[in-house]
Amino acid sequence: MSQSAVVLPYLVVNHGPPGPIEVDRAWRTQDANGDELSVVPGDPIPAWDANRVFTLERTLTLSLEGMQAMVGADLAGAVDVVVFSATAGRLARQELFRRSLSDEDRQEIAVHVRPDSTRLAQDLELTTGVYVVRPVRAGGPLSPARPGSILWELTEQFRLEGGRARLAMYELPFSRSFPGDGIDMADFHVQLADEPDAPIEQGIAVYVNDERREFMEQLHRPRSEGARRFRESVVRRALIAAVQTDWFCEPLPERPDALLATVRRWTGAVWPGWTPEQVRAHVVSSFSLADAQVESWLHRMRPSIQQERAP
Amino acid sequence: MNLWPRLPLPFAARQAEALAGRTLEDLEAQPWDSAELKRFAPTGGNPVPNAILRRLRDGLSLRAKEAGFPDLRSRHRAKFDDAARRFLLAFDIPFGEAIRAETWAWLAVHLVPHLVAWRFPERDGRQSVERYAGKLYRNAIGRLWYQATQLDLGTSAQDRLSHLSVLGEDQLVALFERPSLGAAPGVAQTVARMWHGLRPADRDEALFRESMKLLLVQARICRLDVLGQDDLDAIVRRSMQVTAERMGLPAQWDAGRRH
Repeated sequence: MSQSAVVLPYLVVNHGPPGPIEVDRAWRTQDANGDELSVVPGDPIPAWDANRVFTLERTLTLSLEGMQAMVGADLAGAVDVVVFSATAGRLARQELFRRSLSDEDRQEIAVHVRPDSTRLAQDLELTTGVYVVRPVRAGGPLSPARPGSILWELTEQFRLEGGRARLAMYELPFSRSFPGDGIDMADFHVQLADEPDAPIEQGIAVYVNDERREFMEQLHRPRSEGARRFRESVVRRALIAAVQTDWFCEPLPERPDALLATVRRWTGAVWPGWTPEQVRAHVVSSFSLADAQVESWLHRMRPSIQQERAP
Repeated sequence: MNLWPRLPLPFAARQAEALAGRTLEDLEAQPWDSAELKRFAPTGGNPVPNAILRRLRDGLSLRAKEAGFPDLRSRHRAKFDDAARRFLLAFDIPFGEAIRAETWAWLAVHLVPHLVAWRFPERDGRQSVERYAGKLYRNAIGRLWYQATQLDLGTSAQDRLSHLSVLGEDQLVALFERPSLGAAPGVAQTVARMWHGLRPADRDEALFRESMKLLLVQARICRLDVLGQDDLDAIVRRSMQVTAERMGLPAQWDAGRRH
């Protein structure tokens, strides 16, 4: 798998230590009782719902001289630290925090954001960046000089709703919801959206047949063997279905949690080093073997795959 | 807070396909208020009362009728879009619910399928499924809410949606189907204002489309969101000017407008 990345036409500040910008990996936040705890990218915002008031805090330590040396420009008085939020698959973006850097060399910025829960949906993406906001005197042709230049940027995603990301699961009477499809007696059904760049929570819908009482009883016991097998079967069925879609071999979308990106991550784990075209041909020509390979991978990866995106 | 019903997109797509061939009258008569048809977020509020859903349905239906519904030959569908945007902007749908495509999928499939079928009629016996079950900015009704919300100049403005008077469907697609530009109201409104400031004769559809492509490239190397208003104005205007020069088109801004 390959992903494209933007190469900026000017010098930037390197990520990672040792460097002129250091940032805590974790954000400090509060649980439902107000007690402090840490969250790292990929974590859920604890006990989140649309009424939840919460803050996220951490410290960013910068060396102005270090940044100037790295990009070859006089940045004094021209740089802001800004944090943006994006939500609902990046459909809504807003600024949450901004602080101008002073002329001192070493600066500690206490970043404090309070996303408005009523304006969040599905996910919370925070982008922390150090940006040129006023014209600077460039020391060379590759120095960032214009307002808007991105000196350093870090984008992190957090999950919302119910404590962990879930596939949308709907309990329906199949005889009335899917009349004529011949699945009245099926336990569950998985549908994929024709939107490979949609977040996976939107891109895969799982329907469970509430007319199958015995199955439903097992499903409502999360630790039961039936519930475990169900979770694995959903991933397996979604994976096999996705491989056969028109979009499976398309270039990867930017979002790592997009439907296509997620499915390709799964197939990359089952068949390491294979191209999407090879995977598709294999699934079509040797379905039974491919299905068993997926099942084997699921058993091998049981804890991580279930944590990642199981319903 | 009121939670709004949702329909998963794959399921909505299937239901939309099943609507093909039905008359507008039939779709309008379809029941929508049964609890079985609704799924809500598990926490965070209470299910929106049917009375509010009915008010939304009636309000949209009224605006459609004023624009020629149910005449499928009506040439006034843009009038519906304009009136519906203003109505939706004033309607109190919580942002966190309205920004979800699944919310609009439910509305399109169950609450107002007759309006979707009228606004985007079937072609060759096939429904335009994305208008029921597509992304927010493709949904027949959801896109109107999104456009209005992002271009809203606020209650202090004489006309909160004044920019929409100069943005046609083509421009709205070019702007809002690119989240790098459309997802930040400040950026979207600056683009709209610059376009609004251009002399009417110079507002060429191809110019807008191509200048948005250039602005999108700019947005990859320059974080538009951090710019002050003057810098943002300059970069948007420059994208339009450079594009116009490349295309051999005129691009002059009216002196009387702030741009």
